[in-house]
Amino acid sequence: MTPSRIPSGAIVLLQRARIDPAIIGDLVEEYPKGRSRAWFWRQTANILTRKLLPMAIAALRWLAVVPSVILAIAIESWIVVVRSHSREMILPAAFLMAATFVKASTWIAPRRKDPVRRIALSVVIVCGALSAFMNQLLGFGFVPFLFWVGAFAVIGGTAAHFSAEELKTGRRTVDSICRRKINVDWLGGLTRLPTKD
Amino acid sequence: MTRRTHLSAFELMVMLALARLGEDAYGVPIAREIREHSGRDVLLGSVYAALERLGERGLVSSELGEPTAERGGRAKRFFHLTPKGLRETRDAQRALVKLWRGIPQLKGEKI
Repeated sequence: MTPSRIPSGAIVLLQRARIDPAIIGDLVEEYPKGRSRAWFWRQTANILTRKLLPMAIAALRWLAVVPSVILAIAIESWIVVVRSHSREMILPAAFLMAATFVKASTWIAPRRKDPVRRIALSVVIVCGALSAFMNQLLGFGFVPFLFWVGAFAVIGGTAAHFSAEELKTGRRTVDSICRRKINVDWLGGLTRLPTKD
Repeated sequence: MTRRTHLSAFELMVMLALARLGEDAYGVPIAREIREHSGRDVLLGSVYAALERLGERGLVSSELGEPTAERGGRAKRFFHLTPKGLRETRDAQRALVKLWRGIPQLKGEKI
């Protein structure tokens, strides 16, 4: 029996997904040994799923955070403006609520052990609570300003930490601010395994 | 979430296949070795995923071979057990053999 041609569509998909050429080579080598087109497509689907699924999950997690933040800001704005008529509290209170929601959303999803991120978010939340309290109690106009300076410093520092981590490990990651290091270089990442020279 | 340190059954199979194949261990023979000895249909993607995990833990190393025409000009990636990988495989064997001993339900059956 003459073997049928290798499914070129599958090869194109694998190449577009930047799968390690060694894996594609394995499929190409095995196919003429009595393998069917269905076998080739099944292997392709498995390889692509393993690579793309973590990215899709990471994207969905990010999308899930956005409505949480919007909802948090809306609720807090309503509480502050409508209920207490204290407009000067709106920004720190909204940020406090948003940070709480973001933190809650990461508890729902599986997460990696990451003390830096936990500490950073906790500092933001404590700063927000203290700022709101001081502002309300003492009427300090500059406290919200200090809060924002502190909050942005913490966020900037956290982002810088993650960037440095990415540079150090040499891996491209998505969702790195949330520190769920999903390796988008799955399979392609095999090129970075320790090699014998 | 803490990083998993023990070997899964499939990872152990992959490591044993590497040990059996020696210098000729790349994707296709590894999958074939597991299929022939376990009777399980093995997807290449699963094999490479396990190899990547093992590589990240320093149990397996790899090197690229020469490109060949039968692979459409693509090179093979050969995998080897590292000394740490060999040690872990031995440890897993010892632990499994100890667990296997003295179980009456598993005695007297042909495998």
